[in-house]
Amino acid sequence: MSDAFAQAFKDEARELLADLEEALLEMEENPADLGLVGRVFRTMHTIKGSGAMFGFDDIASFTHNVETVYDLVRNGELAVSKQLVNLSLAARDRILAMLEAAESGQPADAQRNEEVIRGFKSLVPGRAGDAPEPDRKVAPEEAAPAAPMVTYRIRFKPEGGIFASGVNPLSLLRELQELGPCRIVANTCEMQTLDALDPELCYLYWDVILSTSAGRDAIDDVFIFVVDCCELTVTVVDDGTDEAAGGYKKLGEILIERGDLTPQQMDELLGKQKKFGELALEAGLVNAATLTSALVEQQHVKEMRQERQSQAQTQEAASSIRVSADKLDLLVNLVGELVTVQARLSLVAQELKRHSELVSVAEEVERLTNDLRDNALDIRMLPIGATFSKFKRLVRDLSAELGKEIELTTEGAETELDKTVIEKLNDPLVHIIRNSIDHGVETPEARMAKGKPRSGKIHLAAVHSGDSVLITIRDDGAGLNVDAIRAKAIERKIIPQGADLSDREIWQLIFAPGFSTAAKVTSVSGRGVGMDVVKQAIEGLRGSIDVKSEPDRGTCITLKIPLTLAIIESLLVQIGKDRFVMPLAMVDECILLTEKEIEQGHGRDLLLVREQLVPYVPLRKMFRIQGKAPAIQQVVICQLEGKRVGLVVDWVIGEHQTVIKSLGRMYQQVEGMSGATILGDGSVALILDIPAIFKAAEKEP
Amino acid sequence: MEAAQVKVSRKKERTVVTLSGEMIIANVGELRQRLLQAFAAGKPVELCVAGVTGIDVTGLQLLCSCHRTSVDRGIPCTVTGHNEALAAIAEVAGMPRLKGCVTDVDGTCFWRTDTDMVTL
Repeated sequence: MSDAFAQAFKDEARELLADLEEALLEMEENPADLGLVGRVFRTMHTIKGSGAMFGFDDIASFTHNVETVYDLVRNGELAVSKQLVNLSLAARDRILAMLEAAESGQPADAQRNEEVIRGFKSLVPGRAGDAPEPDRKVAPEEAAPAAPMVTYRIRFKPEGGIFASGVNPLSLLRELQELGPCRIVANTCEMQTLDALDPELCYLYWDVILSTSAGRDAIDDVFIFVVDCCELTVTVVDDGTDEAAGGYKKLGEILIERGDLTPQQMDELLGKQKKFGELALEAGLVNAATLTSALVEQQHVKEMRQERQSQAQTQEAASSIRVSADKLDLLVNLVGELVTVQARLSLVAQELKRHSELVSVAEEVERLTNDLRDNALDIRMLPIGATFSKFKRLVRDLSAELGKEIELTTEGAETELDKTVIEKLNDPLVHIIRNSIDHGVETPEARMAKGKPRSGKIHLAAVHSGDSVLITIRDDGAGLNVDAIRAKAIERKIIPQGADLSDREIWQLIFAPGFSTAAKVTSVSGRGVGMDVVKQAIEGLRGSIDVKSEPDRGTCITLKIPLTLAIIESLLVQIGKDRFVMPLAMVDECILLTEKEIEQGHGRDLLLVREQLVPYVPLRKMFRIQGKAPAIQQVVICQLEGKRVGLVVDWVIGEHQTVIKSLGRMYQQVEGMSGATILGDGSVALILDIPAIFKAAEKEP
Repeated sequence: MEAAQVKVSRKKERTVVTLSGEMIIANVGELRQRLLQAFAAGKPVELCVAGVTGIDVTGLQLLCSCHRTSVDRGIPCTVTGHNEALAAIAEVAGMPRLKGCVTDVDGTCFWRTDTDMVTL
């Protein structure tokens, strides 16, 4: 068995398990949705099939037992119950455990597998008499969103004195409208003249034609408090089974069915060659309101049927289409190329200014390209909510395991980020949340002792901020223990004994490789891998990470992530003949650097800017670029982890739309570069990785 | 609760009834009295509903009853003053219709949707 294939299976299985978990949690809320059951079944089936194919026989045979039960559920022989969902979640975890066991080489706990399988077997009817009866409270066809639309005819005739009991028929009618497409006709035939009218009695009655998938019970619920003081008839007029005719009954048939007209009367009328409705009216057999409501029913059901037919035809051509991510990536790449060529066109147009026609075309192309770029990138945007919802289970399970009570709240789930960014964000967020649960939030007892509410809170929020998204993970736990971190850092020789560090600098130490203050290693965290991985992952996304903490008030970690990885606003600079770009988001300001100022630094690369010392890195020296620097160079001052640092370049050229191209595999190890871009004139400019440059500069003697 | 106000002004040719506030069960009794007075003048009645801020089933019934009275006594009665809020409630109550009721021989029903007369 090839490792590559096994790895592919593991990757796929993880995705499937994530999907499974989501489906199960959804199924817990909508037990009657057979679509979800089908989804669960298919996922189990795929895991089983590919597991067997790649030699994960334990997973295959385990999943087979689960699949058997779901086959029964799918066929309606077994109802979805709380017990089934719990077991299925446990099964999902066992599959994951087996997957991880295959990776680590240590066998998974077979006994726990057995327990889960026994649980499933006991659910199968006829196998074990002692199996508890699954919860069958919810009848499948009623609560399910997938239930068919049924059209009802409702005649609601309140007693005259209904207002005296405080009933407002309007609110009942409104409730009916909430159930589905609805047409209401008030019948006014019992209305009186003003002299005869008792204004506090009800003279109206209503015919309602309602199409709903909520079922008869929902209709009865609307009238539950008035059922004793009204005449109520509810009849099914169209349940979608009689689809042979696209239209609907003739008007006369409806009136007869309702008892408003007799067949004999209708036959008599049909003898005359006039429109039936007018005839019935003229003959005085039915009143106009009755007729209107019958006409409305006819029209309503016709429309519902037509809609159903057209829905069936266009089910595939719905309002959204599914496109593979590869195609989107290709599109974004092409747009990237276009942006590059457009920059070149603008450049040429600038040089040939005399040709005003060309300039205006170039400007038009620029506008269109910008729109196209924004749109193409927008297509790849996904709401971060899906990632957030995964953490609900994480928090639920982990807090239970550690005996803590923690509530996860989320905000800004609709915030959109590039698909590739979201994928890479998952792991760092898991690490941070795990840390908050394990180290941050205290046990209920400890919290009570501190006078805090018993259950802790973790708040996950995402918000747009310019061209970035800020993701905040805030807990109301113990906060970072500055002394413990300092002691541990000294013990691990991360900082020298007696180093004078600000709180902020100490907080940053938690991102040092191998750092952990946990006294013992728990299953959750404490192994000291985590926060440095988080930092690496976030920096890999060209993002930054910020920590704030207050003792006993909690910790707040803020991730600043760029919206997209494909195209960035940047600053173009030149050193010698080479050009470089740096992300504009990090740039604070550009100032001049004269030879005299360099001399004043006495060999140290420090510059006085508005009475503050700013360290700088002469890039010409660092990159060993031949030639002599101009007499007046420029310093680009950047924000880096809350500090201001400078990069010395020959000239600053200006802002630039940078389409990021990755460096080839050969150059991926080169420090200080995060990629490359193609400029308008076709030459290549390297993208500076500012944090890496300063890390390298700090290491130099 | 906003009290209903009725202003009955007798013009040379017609009687204008300006209704404002809420037309609900709490004041339909009083409204009925004032409307009866308006019809008592024997001139065409114009009901101006622009100032009505709310209506319930009893209010709608009252308007309907005015129409019946007008047909019964042969006194023309019209509704003026377009009122979106009122129209929305009438819609919920299922008042709009293609043809008027049995008594509506001349097609003067307030609720007909096939004429320009609909002001509600």
